[in-house]
Amino acid sequence: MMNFFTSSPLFSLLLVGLIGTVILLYLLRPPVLNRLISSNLIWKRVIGSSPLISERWQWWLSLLLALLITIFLLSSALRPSVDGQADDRTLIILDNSPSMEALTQSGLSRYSVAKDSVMKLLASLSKDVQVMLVDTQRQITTPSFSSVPEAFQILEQLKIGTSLEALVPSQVATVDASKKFIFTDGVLIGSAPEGFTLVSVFQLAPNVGITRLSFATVPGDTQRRQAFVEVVNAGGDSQLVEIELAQSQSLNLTRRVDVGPYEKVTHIFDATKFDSGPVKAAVFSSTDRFKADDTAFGYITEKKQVRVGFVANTQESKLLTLLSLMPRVSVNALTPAEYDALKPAEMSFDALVFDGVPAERKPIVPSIFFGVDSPTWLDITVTPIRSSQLAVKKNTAHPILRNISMSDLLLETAFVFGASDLADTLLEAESGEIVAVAVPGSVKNILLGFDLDKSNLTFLADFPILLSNSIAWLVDGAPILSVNPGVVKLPGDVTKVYRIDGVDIPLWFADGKAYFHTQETGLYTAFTSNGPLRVSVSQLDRRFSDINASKLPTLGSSQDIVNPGLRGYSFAFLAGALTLILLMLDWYLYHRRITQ
Amino acid sequence: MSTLLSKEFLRRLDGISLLLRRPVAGHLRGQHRSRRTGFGMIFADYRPYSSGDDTRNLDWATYMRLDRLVLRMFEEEADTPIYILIDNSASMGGAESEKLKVAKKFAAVLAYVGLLNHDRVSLISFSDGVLKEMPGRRGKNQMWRAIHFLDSLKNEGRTNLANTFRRFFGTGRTRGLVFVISDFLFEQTLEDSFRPLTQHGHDVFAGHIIDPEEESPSLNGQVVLVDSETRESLNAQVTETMLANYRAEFNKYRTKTEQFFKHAGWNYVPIRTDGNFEASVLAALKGEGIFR
Repeated sequence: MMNFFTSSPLFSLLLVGLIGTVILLYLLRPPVLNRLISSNLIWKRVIGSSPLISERWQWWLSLLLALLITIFLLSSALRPSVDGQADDRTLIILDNSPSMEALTQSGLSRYSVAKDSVMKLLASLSKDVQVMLVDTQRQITTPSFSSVPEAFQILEQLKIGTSLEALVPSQVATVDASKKFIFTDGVLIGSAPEGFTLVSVFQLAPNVGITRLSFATVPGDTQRRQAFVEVVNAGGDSQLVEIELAQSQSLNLTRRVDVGPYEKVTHIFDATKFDSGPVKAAVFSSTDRFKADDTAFGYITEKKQVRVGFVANTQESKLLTLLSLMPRVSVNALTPAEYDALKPAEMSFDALVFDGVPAERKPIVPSIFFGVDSPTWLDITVTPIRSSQLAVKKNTAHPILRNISMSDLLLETAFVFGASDLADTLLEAESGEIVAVAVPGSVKNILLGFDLDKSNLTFLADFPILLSNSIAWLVDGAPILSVNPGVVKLPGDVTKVYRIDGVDIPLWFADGKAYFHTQETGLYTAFTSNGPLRVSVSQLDRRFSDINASKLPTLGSSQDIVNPGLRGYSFAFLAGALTLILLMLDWYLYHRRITQ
Repeated sequence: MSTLLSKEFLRRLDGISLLLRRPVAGHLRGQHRSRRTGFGMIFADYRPYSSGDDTRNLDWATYMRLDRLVLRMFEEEADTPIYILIDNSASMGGAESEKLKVAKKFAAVLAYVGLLNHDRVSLISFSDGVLKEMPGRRGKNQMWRAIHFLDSLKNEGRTNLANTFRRFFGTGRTRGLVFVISDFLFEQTLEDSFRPLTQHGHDVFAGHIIDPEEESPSLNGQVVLVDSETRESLNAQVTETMLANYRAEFNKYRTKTEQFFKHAGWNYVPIRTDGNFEASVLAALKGEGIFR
């Protein structure tokens, strides 16, 4: 009872008003005229056409009214729970995952439709109902029950998120609420949780989006660049799509392609004429209803002539020949003695290549080591193994090994590296031993645990590409950091982050890393102690573009669910209203002498 | 006497006599024709003289012509038993009620005229039976008794005409003229109520007391109607429509009452309590052929 009065001041006011009204009406009741007449004979005949109920029924009617008033009054005050659930609590899950940005046939986004439905639902609830609003992007960090007006405010603050990991918090399953609704398109969260009333806003929407954008030099001709654009059609109809790559209004590339239903195509553009700098890729389709994946951003790094020092005991090396043939490389051969005699100030090389020569000290420029033999400056254990015909497998994700095949690589014997967080594995034997690593850092190194003459690497067709990739990785500066919108993790030495239009983006630091948050796709520049770091923020993910991957009923078939039973009024409110009506009826009947 | 009837009105009544439709069955001499032959003014028949007959009625002309003694017979003029029954039930209102006052006045008029005509006038008050009775009186000088009787009436009980008639006329009353003064507001049917009078061959004269408040009640809104006789309550939300229905129903009831008496060959006079009593009563009674 106390809970009732404290939690619902409106209803307690109503009750007090009710009691006051009844008392007032009682005090103001008109006096009933008792008229003594000669005979009721004529009056009985006149009233006979509408006979009043008999006295016995008057008693029963009066009793029935009294009982009903008591029951409804108690129900209103004590608010009995239904199936153990609080009657006055409503849980609403609003899906604000990225796929909700897709447009429906009405021109509104799925999210707008869902939000409107939630607002209608909230408006239909009585003011004493407690509402918990939950989103799937965790924008509401600590969902809790609040009043309807507060729920409106929370709803207004919600936006469509960028995380593809849409999640219904597990704790909502244990929330005590009589009514549970979920408003979703079912794309990223799948089916509705059990016990929830599903309001589907899903509608098939034609969509063509970019799922990959990358730039690379042409193998064998590092002066040429290629752009790789992967386009996916997430709809059920073929789409005529125009793909555009642009650095400026005048400097752009376009191509029209047909993309079949649910088809993914990759197109290669010759981007040689593009300068180093930002590039925007876009797809255009007349029927597209999801714009968020129509644009992607990339960055073309600067290409320069690379001065390579080749350190080997002999000048008769296939490797030296290959290096000298590479277009952007100028190579100078050094003996180990000449290298040792070089002072750091005299070092005029951009990179060094050690062919079977142990380096006693850590190079001050990026280096490639073939046939590493336990260098003392390396914090990685190196142990020799004896084997024959080692087959290796490569780390396909590493840029050094991109676009090359190592399936035919065989090693006679090699050193193996211990696992370390300081180095990325490039090649490992089938039995798991690491035989090549790449050490990132301010001065990068690539270490191969085998001599070229102890393997067939130089005979592989992809060896020149491996060498080109290696030199590019060593000297071409930091690669573009491609991330999805949301929280972006950067190296800890980042001091500032600017958007491409010069806006300073706030940073925060945790666990030795720097972070910033962005909802928008685009290009950002982070400044580190080692120079600028380009950050490309794009939604390049097939899951992001698959906005029709839902098994929910389409929008329209579930619109009637928005208006719940009882016209949105809680049982307590209705019981109170019924009590009021019954009291008025009782008063009326009594003073009409219909009841006793 | 003056409380009920004014002197002027009594003076107007002095010249009025009762007219009866049928010969009366009185035993005493009076001013009305009777079925018996005897002393009178109107020749009835002849019969042979027998010893002991009054020789003053011998027709000497016939004796001279036929040489036979023939006696002339005359209709005997007899008195009329007049029974004035006054409804004294609660529905006639309290002692101050106009209905009862008018009923008493009407009874006084009838009694006065009856006594003036040397008829035997009986006054009976009734409700569910005979409450009080003034036995038959003759002569104008008995009028004070009648007035005293009427003044003493106080209404009580429920109307039951059938019971009253059975009890009063069931004891061998002489057939006469029965005046029933009532509002006729009771549950029993008139046929059942007046059957005893029909069986005994009385001539009936009904005086229907009508209160304008009963004819057109001044009620409105929620009222509880309490029956003065039965004390039965009736809840009613009185509206204009209901009042119109009531007036129609009352007129229907009054018409039905009048038709009953007319069909039975009896007299019926409505007496309103709101009009000029004296003028209306005289006009009504003369109109019905009761007074001459």
